[in-house]
Amino acid sequence: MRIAANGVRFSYDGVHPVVRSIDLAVAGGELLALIGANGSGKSTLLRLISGVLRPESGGVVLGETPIRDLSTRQIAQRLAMVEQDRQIGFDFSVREMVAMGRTPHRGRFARESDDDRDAIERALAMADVEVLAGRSVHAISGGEQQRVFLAMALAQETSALLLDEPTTHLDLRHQVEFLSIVRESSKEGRTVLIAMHDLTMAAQVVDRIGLMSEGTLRIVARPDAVLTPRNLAEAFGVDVHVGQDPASGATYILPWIKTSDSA
Amino acid sequence: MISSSRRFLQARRWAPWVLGVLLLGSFVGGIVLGPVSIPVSEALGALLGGSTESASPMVRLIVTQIRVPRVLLGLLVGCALAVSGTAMQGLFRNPLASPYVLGIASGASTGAALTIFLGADSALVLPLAAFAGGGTAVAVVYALARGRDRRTSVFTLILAGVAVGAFFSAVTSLLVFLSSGGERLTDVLFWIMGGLGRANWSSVSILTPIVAVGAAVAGLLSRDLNALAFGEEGAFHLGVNPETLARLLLVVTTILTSAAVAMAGTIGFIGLVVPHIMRLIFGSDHRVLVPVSAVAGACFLVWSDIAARMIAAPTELPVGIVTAFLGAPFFLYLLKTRGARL
Repeated sequence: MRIAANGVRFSYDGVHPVVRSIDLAVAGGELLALIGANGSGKSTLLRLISGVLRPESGGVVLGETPIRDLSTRQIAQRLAMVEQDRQIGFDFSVREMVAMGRTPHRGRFARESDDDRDAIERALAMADVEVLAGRSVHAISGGEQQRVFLAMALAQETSALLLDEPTTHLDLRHQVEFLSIVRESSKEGRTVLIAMHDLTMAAQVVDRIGLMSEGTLRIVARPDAVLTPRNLAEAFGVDVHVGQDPASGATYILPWIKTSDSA
Repeated sequence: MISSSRRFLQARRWAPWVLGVLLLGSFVGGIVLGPVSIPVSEALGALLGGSTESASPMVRLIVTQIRVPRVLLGLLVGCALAVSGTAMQGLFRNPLASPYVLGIASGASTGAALTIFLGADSALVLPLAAFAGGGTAVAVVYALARGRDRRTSVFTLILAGVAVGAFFSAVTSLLVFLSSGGERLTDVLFWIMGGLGRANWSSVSILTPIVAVGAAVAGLLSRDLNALAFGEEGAFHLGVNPETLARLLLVVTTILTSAAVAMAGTIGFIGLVVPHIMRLIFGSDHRVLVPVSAVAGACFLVWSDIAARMIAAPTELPVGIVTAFLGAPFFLYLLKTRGARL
């Protein structure tokens, strides 16, 4: 499913725009990363695209349909979201939580159908949380919880997935595992839009990168075209070295940390 | 150790049977037990009509005009409070939430105290005033919590509830103070402590449709309450509109709680603790939690009322004292043994 934001503009207080007239089109099945400094508007743009926020002007189109013509439930049938740290108000089992991903597809009192069960099992397997199914979500690690949220979003069987800095609090192994699951779900045909901070990992997994600063989208292109020292210095105000690993050819970003004795 | 979810699943399997038996037992117990014990056979005779030999006119009167309405009122009020409590804890995602968190109890108490103070506490006026008082408190809280952007934050709701509750409590205290002793004071205090002593067929027939509809709506929304566990945006991403849900829940709990309080005073503890106890036994899935809390709350109040009638017979204790006495230790026991987090 194609996702398009057309001239969206938004401010939380009606005075200071956080997102200023952004145009972005994500092709069906594409994996696109949004990068940019804190406060550059990545999360707000994702929330506008997800329908949680309504733009002051401009609009979002999911597939062929403007999002404003869709009900909350219809949006949830098309689009799932995983955030950085979403709260879990009650003590559910992992299986129960992933099953809630079926909410937009099920009637209020409908028993779990075969389709539901298949989707839940597939999501548990794909996010590698099958062994946790019977555990309480409060009794597993933060990295595991984040994978459970991903499983819940996968069980939703939407054609688009939005991820807002989902790996920020995870250790290296969990980051790698999480991103490889995301990559795989995009290969299955999902359109994925992910806001993230780790530029080196972004360079490895995504098709295109959108660089945001001060509420605007500066450039949307292939990773090597976006991740240049000049672009990054402009967006983050930091000097970086962009190199290539001789063995794999993978791009890495090395920021220079200034200390008093290096001067 | 059995995984928590398997334990919950086992509990859910036997729930309908155990709760069904408990409900029947409460109904029978509430009729036959009391300062005057009535054999089950006589109670049955009185209930089913039949020949006059099966039950004396005296027994017939006690059963049909006192005990049965009282049991039914207990079931209805207990159900209303437990369902409201479950809904409130789900809405606020806060274990300390109770049906009274938005100031309903304080508002209703002020309404009731006012009628007693003015000497207008007829069987019709007092419940109406209490209902109006509870509704007024919530309306004020909701108006205060509604931001300029027309969105309502649950945290502001709780804070406004505390403030409005304190204000109405002060008004009630003032009325109690001004009534300076005597029968009126006792009346006000007794009403605030809660009890089923005012039960009659008209209170039962008024409350029945309210509780039936209110509990059914809460049951309909139970799936959405599950989604709300992940916050308002989390619920949105599962296809549940959090604003609409919050508004519906506030209306339902306000009507349920105000109606219950209007008929039986401010009975504490049930709305706070019954949902917790049920969550410890059955898990957090609201599709299970709402119905089991409804039945458990109903039974719990009836047995508390039986105890309140019998402990110091012929004097009747306010049932609110008993609900806390029975519920608090049991709750602490579960908390300790299950070691579950709330």
